[in-house]
Amino acid sequence: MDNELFIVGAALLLAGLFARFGRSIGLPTIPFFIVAGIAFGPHTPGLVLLEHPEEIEVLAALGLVLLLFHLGLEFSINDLIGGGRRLLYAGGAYILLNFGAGLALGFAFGWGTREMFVIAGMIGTSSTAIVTKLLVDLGRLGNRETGMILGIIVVEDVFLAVYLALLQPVLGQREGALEIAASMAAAFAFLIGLFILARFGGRLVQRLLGAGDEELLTILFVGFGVFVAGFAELAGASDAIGALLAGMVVAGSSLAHRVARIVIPLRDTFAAIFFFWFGLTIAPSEIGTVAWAVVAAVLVTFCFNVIAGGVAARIYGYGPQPAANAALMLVSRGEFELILAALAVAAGLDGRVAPFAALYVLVLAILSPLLSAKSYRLARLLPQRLFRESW
Amino acid sequence: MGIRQSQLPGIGWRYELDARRGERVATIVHDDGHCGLYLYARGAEEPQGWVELDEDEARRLGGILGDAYLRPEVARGIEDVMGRLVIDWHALEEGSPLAGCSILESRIRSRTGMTVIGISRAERTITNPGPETRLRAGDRVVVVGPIDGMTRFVGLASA
Repeated sequence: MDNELFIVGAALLLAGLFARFGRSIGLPTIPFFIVAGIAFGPHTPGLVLLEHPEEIEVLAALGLVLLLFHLGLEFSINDLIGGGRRLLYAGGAYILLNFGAGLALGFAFGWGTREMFVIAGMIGTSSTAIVTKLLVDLGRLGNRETGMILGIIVVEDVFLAVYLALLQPVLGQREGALEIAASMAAAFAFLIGLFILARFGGRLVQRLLGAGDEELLTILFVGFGVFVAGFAELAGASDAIGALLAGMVVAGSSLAHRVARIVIPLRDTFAAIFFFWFGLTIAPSEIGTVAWAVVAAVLVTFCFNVIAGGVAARIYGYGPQPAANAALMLVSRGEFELILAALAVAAGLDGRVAPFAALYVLVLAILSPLLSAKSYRLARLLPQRLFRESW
Repeated sequence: MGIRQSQLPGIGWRYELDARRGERVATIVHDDGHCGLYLYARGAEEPQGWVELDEDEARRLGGILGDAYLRPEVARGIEDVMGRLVIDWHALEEGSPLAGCSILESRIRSRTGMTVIGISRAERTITNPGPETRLRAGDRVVVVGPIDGMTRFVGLASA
């Protein structure tokens, strides 16, 4: 089939129908987008929608860019500071524990050093989209631990920005410690520049691109986000960090609220294509080769999320139930893992990283909502004496 | 009674109120304008119940709680707010302390700040009633005055 409109339309429809089935049984959309992609991809029997997934790669890349652009828009250092010292400790503990565990696990897999850093990023960051949706769906927005959970998500997002900037030199084909150190330093300088630009660039962008009506605002800001992403890639950084930066710059302007509202429907559409495309590239036979690695990763993620949830709850003076709620929600994995996998594939890393990410996300994105709904069972298992309730 | 306000990144704002008997009410104002109400029993970790309201529902509920929601339809044309001034009406129920008093005896103006400018009865309407006019149960008393005076007037009429 080579009618592109037909293919893109069918991809969206199929992804949407699969996800609608998922929503009807209370599950997040992301795993169903991937499954739809796998089912109608060239590697599975039955109907093949697209023999060469590269054909819709540009649309998928738009999805990736818009996901990160929106993340940048929501990005707020003020939220981080407003959370106070408790949040820094709790979020820091979460990342140290999970990213650390991810490094150890990535090392144990023995797929290579660059692969190790990518695996660590996957195991270290929760899915913002799924956690937010779960909090709403399970009626927990009023719970006292909700502020803490969303705070940890904010810390993770800040960490992700730093991590993405530092990942690029690691992914690049650099030889020798000195060269890697030099490009790390360059990435770090880039990062500092990014924060300064995000802090003060907002007003400039606003003056250059601000428009009264929604039509021009949409065109100019989507153009800005995609342009900066593309420019970053040309300049040797990744499109991901470029998009994130663009979003952060806009977040610093007074247009942030309006742009965010405009971007959401675009992001949702193209992100679905991105997830579907990702599924297209996955062969079920490859999944078999990473099954044990995924089992190990899922177990490690669970253990370290329970520990990190407990530590965070203790810092906040909460009991076992809030700790269990936090752990089982933060264990969800989704969009960032797939973004990291896409970056890894683009950099020519070990072929096992992509199927690993697909299966890892499928398992945790489905288990997290199911287990979150029954979090009281985990809470009963947690030893009460480890907590010091301040209520 | 304290209200704790906190931001929920990516969601909106949360306002928590501890009720006198220990229950907790959390109100979420989402960034897109709709609201959620979550009720917690004393010391409970999970809500007893919750409801998500769209913007219009939330505004009406807020009006009822704030006693500013005017009794529907009929009143719509009469109500007018000019700055801090409000024209409103209240129906005197059977057994209202004001029923049977004259306007002078009721001391409505000195006690609430509101001035009676009209009375609507089943059989007729009295505009600009004199101080000797007697209020009766079932009267709809039209008053003008400051917004906070209306609350005092309703309190006086139904005490």
